[in-house]
Amino acid sequence: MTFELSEDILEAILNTGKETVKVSSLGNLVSGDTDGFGKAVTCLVEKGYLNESVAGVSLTEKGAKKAAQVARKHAVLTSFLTEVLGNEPDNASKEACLMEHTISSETIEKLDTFLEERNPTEHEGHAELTKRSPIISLSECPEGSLLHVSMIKCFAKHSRLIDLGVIPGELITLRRKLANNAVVITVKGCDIALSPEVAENIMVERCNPR
Amino acid sequence: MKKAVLIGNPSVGKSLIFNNLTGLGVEVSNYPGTTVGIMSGIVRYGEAEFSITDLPGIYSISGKSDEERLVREYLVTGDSDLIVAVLDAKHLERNLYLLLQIAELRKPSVIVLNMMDDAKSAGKIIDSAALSVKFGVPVIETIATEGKNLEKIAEYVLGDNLSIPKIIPRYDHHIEAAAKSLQKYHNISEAEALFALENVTLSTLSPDIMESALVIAAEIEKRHMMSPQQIIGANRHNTAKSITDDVTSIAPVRKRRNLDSLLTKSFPGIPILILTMIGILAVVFVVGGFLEETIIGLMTTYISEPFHALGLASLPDTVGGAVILALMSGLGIAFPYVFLFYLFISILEDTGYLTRAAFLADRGMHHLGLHGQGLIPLVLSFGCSVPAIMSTRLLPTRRERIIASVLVTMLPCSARTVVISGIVASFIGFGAAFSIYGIVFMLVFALGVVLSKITPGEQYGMILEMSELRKPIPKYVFRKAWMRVKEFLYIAMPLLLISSVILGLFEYFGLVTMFESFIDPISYAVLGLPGFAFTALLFGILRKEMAFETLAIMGGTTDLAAILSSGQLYIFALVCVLFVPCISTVAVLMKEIGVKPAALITVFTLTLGISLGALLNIIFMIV
Ligand SMILES: Nc1nc2c(ncn2[C@@H]2O[C@H](COP(=O)(O)OP(=O)(O)OP(=O)(O)O)[C@@H](O)[C@H]2O)c(=O)[nH]1
Ligand SMILES: [Mg+2]
Repeated sequence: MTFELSEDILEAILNTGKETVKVSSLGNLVSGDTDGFGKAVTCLVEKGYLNESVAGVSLTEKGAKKAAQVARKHAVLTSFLTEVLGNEPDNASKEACLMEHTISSETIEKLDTFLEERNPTEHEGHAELTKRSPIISLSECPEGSLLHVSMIKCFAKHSRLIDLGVIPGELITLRRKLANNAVVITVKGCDIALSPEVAENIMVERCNPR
Repeated sequence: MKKAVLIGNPSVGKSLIFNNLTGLGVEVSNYPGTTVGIMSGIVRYGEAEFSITDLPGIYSISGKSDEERLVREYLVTGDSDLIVAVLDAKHLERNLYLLLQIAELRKPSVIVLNMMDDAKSAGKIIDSAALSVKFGVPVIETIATEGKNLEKIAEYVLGDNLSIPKIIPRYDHHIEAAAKSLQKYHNISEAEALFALENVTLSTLSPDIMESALVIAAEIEKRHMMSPQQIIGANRHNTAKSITDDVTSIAPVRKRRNLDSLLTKSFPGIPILILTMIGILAVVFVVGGFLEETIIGLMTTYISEPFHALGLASLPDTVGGAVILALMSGLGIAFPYVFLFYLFISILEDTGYLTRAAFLADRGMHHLGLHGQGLIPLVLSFGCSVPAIMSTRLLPTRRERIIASVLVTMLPCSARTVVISGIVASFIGFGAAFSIYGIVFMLVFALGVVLSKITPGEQYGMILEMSELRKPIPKYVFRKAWMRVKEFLYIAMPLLLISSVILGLFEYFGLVTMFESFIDPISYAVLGLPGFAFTALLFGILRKEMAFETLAIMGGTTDLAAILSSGQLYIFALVCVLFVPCISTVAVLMKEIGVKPAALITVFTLTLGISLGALLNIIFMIV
């Protein structure tokens, strides 16, 4: 199976916003080459990205992370192509579809920062289209959300966060949140407990399917 | 002799591997930060030997905490021949971050992939051959709890060709250029250049190297809007991620019940936390009381009574009686409580529950000027204050370490539990016993609130990795409890025997009566206690449970109700629990937080204990 196809499948499932998607309806969602489609799905299940049940397939935690990453790459690339280079939105989206599989997370982060600096307001306005959520502090997110780290405030004080993998660009899950905003997050498969004053310094974007 | 050193993230099993290889017994527990110091031992394998060193677990060698600094200096300036990098196979990606940093030191290394059992049940299949090729050093897959493949580590250390890691992580090109120029200009290694860029001090880096690195770092920061430390960290994480993706595959697994949905929620997590603590105390009281009665009963019928029936001359009778009484109070009373308590603490440590409790307690601990992690020394202090005070090193600031040490000193350790349960629970009742805990907890809380206001220093929040929940392995739990009780048997028992005999002789020659006639009026006036009880209290400074044992010895019976009233017993126990930490605690306090604070704590607790005792005496007199 091709690597692009499997990423497209994950992204498509995420975009439906549904918990479980029928395999048959997936075929229509993924544009382009559908050869070996079934094989790709089986392979994704084997690798732990998808759960398969009678009702259809659903994203595992790992799958949801991967999908969110790809979707984000897609959104940032489309913004760049339309806003900076002035491409037609349709073409831009198609081209973004091709590039999103090869571009590194680091480049995407830089591109994103670049877009933000160049035109913050317009970029915000674009938020709906690029599915970008506003940047908020970790303490404001509800339990169970999948989050994308954008920035650590006063990171010098919390440099252990970097060592644990809480860095801009990383996807984390908010496992638990107590009434006082003490949280448990999952980073790189490890559960980390944070005091409220640490949590509020971590700025994130939500990337859960709506 | 060759020297190997164990390095890795916290709670990956370094100390367990160390114990298995050396046959020594360092602490092994399921919470991050178990090991706080350096410990070395000799491994004998076949005919050959080598030395191995256990270090505290760390997340990064460029970190700023005390442990990280200690390990960094040890690695860079130490004379070890081989680095044994221990990794948790289940969390390979996070563990690779540290491994990459170690690899850059370009010292002979070997990778130990421990916890293969955990990785397997999580469905992670790791291609260790591929990992070995990537790093250029061998990989040994182990399960330390089963002792599996540990001999291969010994075999490799003793072998002839040790390989040096050859992996080169890719850094941002500005970082790489900066590191290159620092290397060339100052003639330092790449690893040192990166340390300098990250603004990490090291004894081999001179101030002018640091200064020029600082200038370059500022330049890079301006361009990237990110400090070199962040960029280098992110680059390493990316490398770790791509290596992990290349060498792991996932097998489907059955989903297991996740207890965390109960343990880390306010409800039912907090009730569970409170019930666990009360439950442990109650079981110790009940079972300990039962064991005490049985053992004392047996010893009275089969040792004490036959001995006195011999009708020896009065001097041998006194000395022999003193020995028997010491044995009875040491083995019969103290031992059951101490052993039970350590058993429960060991179970608690090995389950991984302590980190959950710490998370839930974070909020409450804020009132005491501490954070969640601060709960761990406080819980350990129920066992023994000495290791609990040492474990305060896992706290991030000196401020928190001081506050926690003071509170640990105040909380009742297992020796004080012996006093409370042996005197109050046995002769007055459970309610009275719990009320002593209640008084102590209220005092500790009030003291914490005050200390959090007056102790200077900065505050950092909690960043604590939750340990894996595990079923404790009975063999290890018993071994650990036994190791701790051994200390009691080998140090406390001889001390008790000697002082019992000396006291017996003093009594025989009338010295005790002299001292008591002098102390009696004061003791009665202030605490309402007879002179011999006050003398017993003084013995409590040597070891807390000795106050109780000496009371029995000086009273000449283990049935304390016959010699003191309930009110007197209560005052005795409360004063003993509060006043002056035992000498070992004072010693460790001086070492960990300094002579002046230690002296302050001692004077403070002395005043507190005596004045509360006096207050209670007045209340009892009025009532
Ligand atoms: N299942 C399993 N558990 C293990 C294995 N190795 C160690 N453990 C458990 O992991 C926990 C931590 O072990 P330690 O040896 O204290 O870890 P450490 O690396 O010395 O930790 P620090 O001193 O905190 O750095 C203990 O509860 C061990 O019983 C293993 O191979 N499999
Ligand atoms: Mg250890």
